[in-house]
Amino acid sequence: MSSMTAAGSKLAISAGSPATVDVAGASALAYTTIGQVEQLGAFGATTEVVNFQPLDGPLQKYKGPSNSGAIQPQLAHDDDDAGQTLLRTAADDKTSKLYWFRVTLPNGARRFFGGRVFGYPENVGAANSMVTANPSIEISTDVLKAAAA
Amino acid sequence: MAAKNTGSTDTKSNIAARFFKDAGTGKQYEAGKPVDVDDATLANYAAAGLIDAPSAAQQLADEANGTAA
Repeated sequence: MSSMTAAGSKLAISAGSPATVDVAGASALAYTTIGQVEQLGAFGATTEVVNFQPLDGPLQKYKGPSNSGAIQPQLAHDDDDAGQTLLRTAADDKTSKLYWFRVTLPNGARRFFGGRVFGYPENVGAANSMVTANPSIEISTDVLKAAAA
Repeated sequence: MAAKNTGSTDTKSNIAARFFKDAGTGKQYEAGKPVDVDDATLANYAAAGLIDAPSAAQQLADEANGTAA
């Protein structure tokens, strides 16, 4: 895959649940694009380091549990945007319902994951800035990777 | 909720609870007007609270047309 800029990437959300937790299941869902996204940031699995220091020998490092991380997209707040509205619904949801997300890269490659939204703080800055929001989406599944459809 | 996107163009008459727009399709929906989209897309809009439940009269009409949920 060639290098590319982030321009043209999209974030979308679904209230549905996949029939199977794999690319086929996740890609079959209907997603609503979240508008006015400025940046997504880093996401994807990292593995915890489990250390063991024997009395005699160097520090040993083992792979512990993995964590798919979180994204805190920055977006220009828009009351009328359907995707943002569903994102706010997910943030207000008091249950542990899993919402599904799709990130589409400029080359059409897709990333799917289930997550829960832990807040939708709004940011009102200076007069020469937009009213933004920084929702926190904690990823609670593996990040499923799919080539362009 | 098990959801599947069959790409169906089947639509039901459901009413926009308020003005909203879809950044993915570029479509806008006026408050009080029908939102004619596929069922899976409608489920997302409904989950977001953007859709009013169809009226009793509309449900009867849908049943008569064989398009009731």
